[in-house]
Amino acid sequence: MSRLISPVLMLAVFACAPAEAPAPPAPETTGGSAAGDLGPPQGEPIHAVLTHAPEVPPPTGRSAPAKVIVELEVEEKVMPISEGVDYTFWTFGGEVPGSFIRIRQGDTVEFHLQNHPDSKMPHNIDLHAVTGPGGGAASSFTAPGHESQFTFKALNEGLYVYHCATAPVGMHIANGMYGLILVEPPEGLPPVDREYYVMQGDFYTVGKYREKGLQPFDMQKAIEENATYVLFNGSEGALVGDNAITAEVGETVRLYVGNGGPNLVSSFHVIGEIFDKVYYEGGTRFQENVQTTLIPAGGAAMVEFYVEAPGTYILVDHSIFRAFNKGALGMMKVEGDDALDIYSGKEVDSVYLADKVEPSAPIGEATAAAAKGALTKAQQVEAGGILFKGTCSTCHQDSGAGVKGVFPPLAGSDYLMADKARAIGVVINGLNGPVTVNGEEYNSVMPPMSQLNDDEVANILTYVRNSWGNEGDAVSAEEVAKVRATSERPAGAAH
Amino acid sequence: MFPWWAGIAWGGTLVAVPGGTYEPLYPPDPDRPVVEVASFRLDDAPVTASEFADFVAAHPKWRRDAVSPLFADAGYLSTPLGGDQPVTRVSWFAARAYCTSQGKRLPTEDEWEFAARASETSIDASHDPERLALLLGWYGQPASAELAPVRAGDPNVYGVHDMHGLVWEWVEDFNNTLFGTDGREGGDDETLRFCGAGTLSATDVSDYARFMRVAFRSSLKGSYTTPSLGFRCAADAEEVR
Amino acid sequence: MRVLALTLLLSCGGLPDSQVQPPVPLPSQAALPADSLYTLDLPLTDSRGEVVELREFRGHPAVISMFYASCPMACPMLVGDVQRLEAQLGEDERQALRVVLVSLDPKRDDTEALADAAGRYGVDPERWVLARTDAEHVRVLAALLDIQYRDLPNGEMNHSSILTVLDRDGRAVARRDGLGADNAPLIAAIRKEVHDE
Repeated sequence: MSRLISPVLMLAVFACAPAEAPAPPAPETTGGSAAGDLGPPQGEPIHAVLTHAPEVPPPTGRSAPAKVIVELEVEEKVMPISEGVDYTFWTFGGEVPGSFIRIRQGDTVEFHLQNHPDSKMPHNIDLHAVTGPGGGAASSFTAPGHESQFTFKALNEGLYVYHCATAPVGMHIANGMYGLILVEPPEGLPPVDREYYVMQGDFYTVGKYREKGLQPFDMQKAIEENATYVLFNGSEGALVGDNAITAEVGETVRLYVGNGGPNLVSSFHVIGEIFDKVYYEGGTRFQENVQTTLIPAGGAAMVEFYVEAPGTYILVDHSIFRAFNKGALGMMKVEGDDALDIYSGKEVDSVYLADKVEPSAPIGEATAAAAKGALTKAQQVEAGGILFKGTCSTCHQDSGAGVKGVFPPLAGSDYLMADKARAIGVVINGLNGPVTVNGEEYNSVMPPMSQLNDDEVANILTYVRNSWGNEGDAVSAEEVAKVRATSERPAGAAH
Repeated sequence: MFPWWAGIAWGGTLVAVPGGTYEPLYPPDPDRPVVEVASFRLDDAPVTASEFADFVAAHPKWRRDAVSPLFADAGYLSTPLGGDQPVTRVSWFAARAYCTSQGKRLPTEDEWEFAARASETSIDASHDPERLALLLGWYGQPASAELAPVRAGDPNVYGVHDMHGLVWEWVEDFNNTLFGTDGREGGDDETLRFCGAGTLSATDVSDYARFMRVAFRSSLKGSYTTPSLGFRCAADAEEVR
Repeated sequence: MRVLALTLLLSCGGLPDSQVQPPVPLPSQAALPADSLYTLDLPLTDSRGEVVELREFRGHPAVISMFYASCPMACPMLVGDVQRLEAQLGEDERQALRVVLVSLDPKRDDTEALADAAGRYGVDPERWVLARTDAEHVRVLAALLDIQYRDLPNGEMNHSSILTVLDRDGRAVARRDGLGADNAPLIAAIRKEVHDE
């Protein structure tokens, strides 16, 4: 593959140089893989430092090629994919995405792939940084409880995806078997203040988005490219709340962003920032002043930006339903003095998103109590309050006051309190068309909250009917189920 | 032809599997995707750890501390033997010696896959999507959990238990599969790596469960052992008198 | 009952219980290492109809692989690879080397077929052995050499083309997968056996 690169670059050069006009200076090329062999490895072999996302290993800091030993262990393990939702991930290095590998162009890499004895499946690795058939896949095919070794010379600089290529390839990748390997140019990358590792992937579970419990892989959804989750760093909470990446005002941040797929192309964007530089496709050249960069499945990019204003910046796949309905969302918290001349005002997204990371233990407790028939109203209110913040408060506000003329109030709402079954129906089916609340007419659209199960709807309604001065009885899951059974499902709603 | 005592001392009970046709995932001749499987007999359950312990006691050269390193890797029998769970951490050589000691043999891949299509009610449930989802669920789980005893669930229509959901199983010709170790490899490498220039086109690319079994087998060498890999024995059909 | 059954089985012989036998020490030589292929009890018959034992090659470096006589393409190429390897060796190294090719096709490869193949390939009969064994042992040897194979309906076979170098005690010390692959690791291993004490 890398052999293709230099001819392509040469074509580009010729195309830029019309015969009659004086030729502009040809852009310098790196020479590609043909110029990438920097001689035999020097000095003692080095053991590569591997890091879990979002951390990135330190720069190699070397001026000569070395022999680098990489030991990567494959482990199949159950981990949370979302709050209360577990998934059996297949991992390189025990995490999704796999461990970050950092080497220098010209290095000779002795790669050891270890497959944990508890693995059910054989695995291998295709590193896009490898020049040679299969990228290492055939040489690294490894049964459970065994280890393979192969060696390659890193001829091309750049940021590369690696992934498992064992049949069925799609399933191995869908279960999280991908990561990034950075091949630094000989002179290294320009220094920055912070570096982070972010990798997107799409996941396919039998249960719907956020359906609780251990969720198996859904092959049919994967074939149809109908993702249940689109995630950064393998779980919905990986880059939010306490796990957010951080920076300080006045620093330059570099993100190494990969996309493992298996299916979806990412429209990577940071809300509130403009990328000063994008090394698009993980290659050598950069574009400047970019809002959103496209990262293909099995591809990567390096993005850099200088941060001027404090606050929370949101990383999203700007194919935006993925961000708000499938989990493709992370945070970077920037601290420092306000720069009001540059930006003053609230970042709306940060309020909405910060709330999503409320501790959700009470939700699980309420679910467990309901299963045992021991659910109390107080538990429902507590669980419902958390769910309310994640689901309803963007429009109805934390105070329940709504937004005058747009989103009706819930606090002291006659419409809400008058008819319990109607309130249940509104949550399940949404509301479209004019309603009168406390004497005022509202005419906006509330989407059906079809991602909520009966327990969750009951808890939310118990919360809103007993908050902000409202006083009502509890809503039970049975009451919700009854309304759901008699409701016509709106077209296109999830089930 | 078959000694009267075989099968009664220890080991699974052989049950008859009437022959028929089936489509291997990688048929030897892509133009003739259907192959014949002759009638045969198959143990009704995987060999258990206590059955294997009896075998090792009678054949000490298969003990963990005596086995030839050609025939078993370092993980061989590294979990204590005993109990009604399937024996795992056994090499192909050891599995084969066990079956031979009983006057049986390992099933061929075709025989195993042919019998594995069956459900409780049908001889071929391989295209049932719910069953496929169940199998994928099992394949997706790490092998760290303790194994259930054999024969815990219902048998399939042949009276055979545990073809799925308990352990992977050795087959006699585990090394027949000329399957590129890179799951995407096309045909050209194969013409150099393998005689006959057979093209490797799978008959049913949506049958992920079978893909995974083929991938698993092709990752093995005869001396390999893993905590999720066991075996059962088979025999030719009884001669019609 | 159990013990009785076992005794009966063993005394009746039945199918061979296993392939591993305690190694027979050669006169005035140390016991074979445990991972030596020469510990195998592998009944071989060569292209002259004579019984051969693998451990006869003890003391020589050897290249071992599997083939079948009617193989139209890959096997002649594999033999050509070994002959090219031999040409890259020094005379003393070549004289020390033994080459063992065992048939994957015991049904058709009788003594005559093996002799015919040896003639066609033009191999040195002093140092090359083309041999056959029974179907049981074909699978065993293939498993030990990590060779994959199966019959095709047209009478040909699919098989991988793997060359293994055995040291003077029969331990696998180098391996090459794929036709036309680099011989260098095999040559290095052979030279080490010839020249190292």
